[in-house]
Amino acid sequence: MRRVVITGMGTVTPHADDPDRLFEQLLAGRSAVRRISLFDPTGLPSQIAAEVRYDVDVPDHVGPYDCSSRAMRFAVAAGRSALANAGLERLDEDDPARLRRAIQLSVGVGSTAMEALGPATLAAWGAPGTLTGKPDLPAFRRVAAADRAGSAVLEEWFVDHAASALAVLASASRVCTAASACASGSHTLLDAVHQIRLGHSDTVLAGGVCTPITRSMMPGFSMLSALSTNNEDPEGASRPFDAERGGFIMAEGSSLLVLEELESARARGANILAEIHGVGIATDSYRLTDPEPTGRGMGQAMRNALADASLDPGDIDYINAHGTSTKMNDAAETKAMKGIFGERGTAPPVSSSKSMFGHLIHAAGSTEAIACVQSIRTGRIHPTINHHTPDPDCDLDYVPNVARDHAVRFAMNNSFGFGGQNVSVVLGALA
Amino acid sequence: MSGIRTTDVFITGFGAATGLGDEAALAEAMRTGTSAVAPFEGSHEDLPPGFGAPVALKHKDLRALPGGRGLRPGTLTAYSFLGVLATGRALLDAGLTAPDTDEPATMDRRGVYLGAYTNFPEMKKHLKLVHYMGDPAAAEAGDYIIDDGRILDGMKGFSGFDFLKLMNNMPTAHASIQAGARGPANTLLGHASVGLQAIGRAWDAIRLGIADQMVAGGCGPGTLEGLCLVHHARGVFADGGDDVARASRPLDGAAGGLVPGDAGAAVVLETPECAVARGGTPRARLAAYSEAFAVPVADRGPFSAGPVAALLRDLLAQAGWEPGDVDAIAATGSGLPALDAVEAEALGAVFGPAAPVILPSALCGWTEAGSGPLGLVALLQAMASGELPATWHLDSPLSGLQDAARGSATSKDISRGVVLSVSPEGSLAALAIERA
Repeated sequence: MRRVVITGMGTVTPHADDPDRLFEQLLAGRSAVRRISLFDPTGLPSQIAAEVRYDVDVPDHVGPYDCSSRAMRFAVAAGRSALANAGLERLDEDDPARLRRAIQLSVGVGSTAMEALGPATLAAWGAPGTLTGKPDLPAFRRVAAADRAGSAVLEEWFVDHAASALAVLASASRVCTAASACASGSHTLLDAVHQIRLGHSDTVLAGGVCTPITRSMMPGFSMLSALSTNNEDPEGASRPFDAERGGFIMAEGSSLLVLEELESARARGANILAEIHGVGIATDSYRLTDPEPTGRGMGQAMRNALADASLDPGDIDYINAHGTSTKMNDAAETKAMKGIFGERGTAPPVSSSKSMFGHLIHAAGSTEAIACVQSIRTGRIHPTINHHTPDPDCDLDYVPNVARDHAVRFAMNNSFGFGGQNVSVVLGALA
Repeated sequence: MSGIRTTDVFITGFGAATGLGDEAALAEAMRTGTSAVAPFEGSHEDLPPGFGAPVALKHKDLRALPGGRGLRPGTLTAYSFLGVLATGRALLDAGLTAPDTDEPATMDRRGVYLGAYTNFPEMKKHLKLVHYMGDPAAAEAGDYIIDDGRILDGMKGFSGFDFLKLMNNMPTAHASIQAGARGPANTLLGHASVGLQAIGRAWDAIRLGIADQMVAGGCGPGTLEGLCLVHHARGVFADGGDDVARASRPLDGAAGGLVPGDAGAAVVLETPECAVARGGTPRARLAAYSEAFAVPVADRGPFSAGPVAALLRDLLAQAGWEPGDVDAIAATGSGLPALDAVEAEALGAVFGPAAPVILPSALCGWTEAGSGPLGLVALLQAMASGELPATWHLDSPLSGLQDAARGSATSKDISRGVVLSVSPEGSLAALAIERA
């Protein structure tokens, strides 16, 4: 079986645009959650999020692709960093090595320029505040179809451009954009491992990008009772596994990793950061919004990853949990972890990066994979912050509030999505 | 860590939902030339280009399908609806009539991969949200800005499900519940080729040993309001002329652009052991799959025929076939002149000017991610019937395929076939199958 290693990492997260500085912040237990600045959230149930509040420098275009949207900027910046970190150069058009490179991206976006749809709304319904209840469809369709700015906003939902732009940057000849909601980022790593094992590619740039802090997504997810409403204490709002947890914190960003077949990486003298030893996937087939309450699907994904890595539960030194800070996820995940790893004292330490940078949705798994790689390389694990009140349903060692020196040979990264898709990834030092 | 399986993988069921009706209606139309393209009516009225091939999404059609009773139609976008229609019909055809009540061990080894462009909701609903949030005074002054103080007003009439259901993974999430699939599940996003990509990667999942049985395909509501408006703004729609039923003219020199159509199409893939154990009937063996990405030129114009021809040659090499071994090719035939010229040149370069193409898009329109799986369904039907259908609306074939037009169906033993999916923005996929 072809082995898969990580040779590059790039990130644009609320904390930092560099994997080392990101991990420093996580070790220090610093929250990146603040009151929303992208728009005025006054009156919304959840008014807090983890935003990227620094300039992200990317070209206006990559190939034919416009990089003006927030999602494109984040993905392109993270991709460029990952490729540079891996020391991968762009290839000539006729270089056969292009055939061995691929992109595996997950994308979650939300429109951030709703004003551009104004002319079409005026045509359909007249001035705001005069809603008659029945739109003038012919007028609306005439205007919407003719309005280029509006069309550009609509195209934000058509989600394959970011992966195509990354393919230009990486000189890749295979491109796949996919989505499994909150499991997406880890799912891209699983897919990339599979593509390399099958021999379809030697090098895959994989990860996710998500820009969900919008005027529609924030209240929309509040309606699902998914978001924390602890607006008075943004930095204390994300409380995975704590009894007082009340929902997750929306976050934005992108993280991409360069995965390579081991011998290919060695042949070019790449700096091998870690190995992906195993990947596992399972689906709840239960409900769209709720995890299966016994944690069956979550547990199956973890078991599949362990079996794929040919490891026993006792071999895992650390788990980076999905740990969203919702009542249901954290309890179900704990139940699933205990079913495999045993009770506190037997199970490895568990921490949730989301306690500090919130939930990057499609980019969560790939960002948390970076945290795992950093733990493997440094022998330190970051804490779960805001963990003060024990919950009898969440009774493992969550590395509360303070980072810890802890040798990590093998780490497991969990990601579970709305719709019941579950992915676990086992990472470790090169064996 | 287990090795890569070398076992054969078979298609044991297929299904489709098109503007013509289900897969049986598609087969009949491919024989008779009946087109689903007609002037838009009802909710599509006034939508550009004024004609197309929509699917009427009826809840009762879902309830009769395997796993359909557990679905909540109010949570389905048009993408998800077409996805579960296709999934249900494929399960039914495969004899998996109650998949959601199977033994857990069976469900653990079953997965779902679907392709979709996105999961974009109805545009007018989104615009209504924007309207609520608009600042009235600014609008009166001829400007339009969002008043953040009115965001909550904008949420009137929406539920949490309105936001959940537009998440891009929902087509597969619904289908996995419907199919009782607890194994791998993924929604592949992008242009037309992702439907075929989903099938290729579902095959990979079986080869990797993480599933024994997969439902895979694509859903493409090409007549969706937002898509029609964007395509119209880009100027890529065909002119219907005097006879909109013949407006979709794939690979034809007189084609003027896309004709929007809806389709969902899916197949059931499984190992021989799995099929035999449950009494399933293999229809075709997967012989090879290949995918590639060709970077469009700077203005997003079409790439050259070279990458498409290279993809086809790679596919044949994987299958161990010569071009002459291929009895039928389900082509993309988008109707976009530049893209069709690339496809025709590539097909001609590999298979010759009389390449035996099958063109369901002539009758069903441009069905986005549904198009590749729909071509596969049409190819499977041709294999079963022993008849190569006419190349409907192909009056003046493009260069490369100058001898490919067939005015009527031809009796032919079709044992080996290829499906090609070419997307406007450069993603390409091809699948080779052999009759079981």
